[in-house]
Amino acid sequence: MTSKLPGDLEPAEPGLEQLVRTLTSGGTAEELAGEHAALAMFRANIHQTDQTRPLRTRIRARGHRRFRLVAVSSVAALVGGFAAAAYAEVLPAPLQHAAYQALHSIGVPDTKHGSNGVGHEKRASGSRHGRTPASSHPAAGSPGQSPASSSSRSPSAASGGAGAATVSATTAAGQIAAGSSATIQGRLAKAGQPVSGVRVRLWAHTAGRRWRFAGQATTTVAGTVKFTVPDLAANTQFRLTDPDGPASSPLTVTVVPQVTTSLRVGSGGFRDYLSVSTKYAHLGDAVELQAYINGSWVELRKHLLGAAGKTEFVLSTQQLSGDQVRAVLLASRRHATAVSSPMNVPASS
Amino acid sequence: MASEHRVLEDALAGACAGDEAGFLELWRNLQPPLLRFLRVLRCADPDDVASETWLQVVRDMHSFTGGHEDFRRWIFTIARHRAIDAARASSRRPASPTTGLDVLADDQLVEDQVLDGLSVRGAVALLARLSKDQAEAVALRVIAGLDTPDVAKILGKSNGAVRVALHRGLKTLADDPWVRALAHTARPALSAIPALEEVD
Repeated sequence: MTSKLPGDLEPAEPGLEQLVRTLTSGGTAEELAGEHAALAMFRANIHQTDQTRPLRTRIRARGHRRFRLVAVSSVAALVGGFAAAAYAEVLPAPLQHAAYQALHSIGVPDTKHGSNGVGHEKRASGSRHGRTPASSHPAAGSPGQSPASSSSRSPSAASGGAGAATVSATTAAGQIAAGSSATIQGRLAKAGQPVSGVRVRLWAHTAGRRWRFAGQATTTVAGTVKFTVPDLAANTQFRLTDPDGPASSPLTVTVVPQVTTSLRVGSGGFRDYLSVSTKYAHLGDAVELQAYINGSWVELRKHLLGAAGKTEFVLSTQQLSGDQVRAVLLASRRHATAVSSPMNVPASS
Repeated sequence: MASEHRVLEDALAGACAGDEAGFLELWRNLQPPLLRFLRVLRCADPDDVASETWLQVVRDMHSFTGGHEDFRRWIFTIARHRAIDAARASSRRPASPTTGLDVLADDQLVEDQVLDGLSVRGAVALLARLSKDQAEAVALRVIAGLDTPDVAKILGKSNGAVRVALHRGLKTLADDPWVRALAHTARPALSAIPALEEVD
């Protein structure tokens, strides 16, 4: 990034120079916080391009896609228009009856009872199974009530417009080792039925940061999506959204950092050192030194981690001879509690 | 500067070939100015629009030809289009779930704000006070680092119109009392400037 006013612009006021320097300064931690999500997005999408196919195939495929889209849209528009007209009962009687036969399961009414003798006759003659279509309609037992008014579903509801789809998120493991991958699964459903072919987006939120876009996927026939988020370094909340519905409830995946210890025995056995190293923990996180005494773990000391994620406890191997010690990294907003493997304090010589 | 240019050219070539390190180099270089540009445009959710921009970039990367400067022009063009789309969508559906998510976000850590957040946001807020034409021209020229002809292409204006917008914008900024105060007090003054959301 440049740090001065562009050369072709007039010499600036000192304050303006300062402003431009700030505007062109290096990225802040906040601006660069989405690096993991960006990398995940790159991994997920860079190999999904159709670059390996020859250009002519791609053009042909695009042409086919466009044709299919237009064809599907046209058919949908025709069917939709026909269904809407049938709902409104504005079709001629034979067509209305045909529509009823095809679409009665979604609430299309038959021709009106008794209002049209021709229609009534055709209904009767059109019955192939010894019962009239009207008798199979839910309103058949309600004399004097028109089929249309007896339908509990509006045309928009019957065509799928009522009620937003809901998306839910689950994960196979709510707690994982820091730096490993989290798997988030989602399901999009409407009135209990899976919704396929919808682009669902994954959002991630770590402590102190904003919700960030972490990826997107299209629901399968079963209405499901699956995301793998690599290198999860901190506790993260995930949510899924679909274009029209509300976001899923947040799903938290906590991470457990690695904690390792090493013992450095000094001279005399009174001033020895237990070094604690962590990975994915942070400056200022609390670490306890614990010893296993009389059947339970007892806190001996507590330290805060230094900048390198390390700290060192002074202990006496002579006093703790034969006991077990361990380091416990206490939970923070960014990670869960992590415990080192117990270490046997060597018997003093 | 030449070495940085070389690094970015290599990063671009690598990213186009699927190299993650190359992509990260590009992302780290361009994400900050991208977010600042989108904030100047008063984008409701600059992070979201920036993510959409990068997604489109990654998907179309295989067909990109040109150097780093072309890439920079390309990504800011996409970002502007995505910002316009987002503004239209937001006006059609004000309470979109995506917008709602930002409301749920925690506040930034206090130490982060003190260390690095507010001064840049304050500077962006000052720029966003300009008229739309001037703010866009100055942001593309100064934050994105594009040449005037490139800015003109992106905005669909003549070079002359962009130069006029640039000079008027910079003059307005130079006359701004906040900017004048910066000559005497650098960082603290910028920190005190109201954040972009409060500038209206």
